[in-house]
Amino acid sequence: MSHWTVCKLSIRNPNMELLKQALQVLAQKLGSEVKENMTIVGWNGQAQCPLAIPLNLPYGNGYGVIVENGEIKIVVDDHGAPMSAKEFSQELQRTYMALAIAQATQALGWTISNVQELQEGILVEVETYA
Amino acid sequence: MPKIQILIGKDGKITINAEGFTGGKCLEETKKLEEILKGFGIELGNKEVHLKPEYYVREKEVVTG
Repeated sequence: MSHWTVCKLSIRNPNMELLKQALQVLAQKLGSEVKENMTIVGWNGQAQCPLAIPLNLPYGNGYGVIVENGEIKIVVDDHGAPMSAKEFSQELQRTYMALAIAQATQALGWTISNVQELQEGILVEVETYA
Repeated sequence: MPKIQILIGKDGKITINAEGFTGGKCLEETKKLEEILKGFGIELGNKEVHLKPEYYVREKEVVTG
């Protein structure tokens, strides 16, 4: 090993196409699909979301995603939902990162040799030919 | 073959391990990756970089002529 780096992930001004792909991965896990321009409703109101995953939730109709001032915001009435808003946001960010690595790897001419979902997160292994 | 392992942690932490490189090449390669990720809006903040003994190994000099 030559070096290792530990840092904190944050996403600002996401690529909307990649965000949609990441949502598709989550939608599949939840047994649904991505819908564009959907009104997400909950116990306490509603919001128009450019991207959403419709689901029959106890107090809502799904998870919505809004990008506001460059930040990703999750809209959901998560009471009794399979994932809390925080869990959904973290899972979305991890998936987005994994997809971004896949695209970056391709752009650099590298090869992904392994992708694994582990207890502690998603592991991506890349061969660089450096 | 040089490898980079990236663990996207459930706690939001990213751990990048570069293996099989000699000298500073590992930092150059991970820098390239970070630059492309930036284009996707991904910022890797609070970075801690730990250099391993291999980092200090100099590549063989090639004498020509």
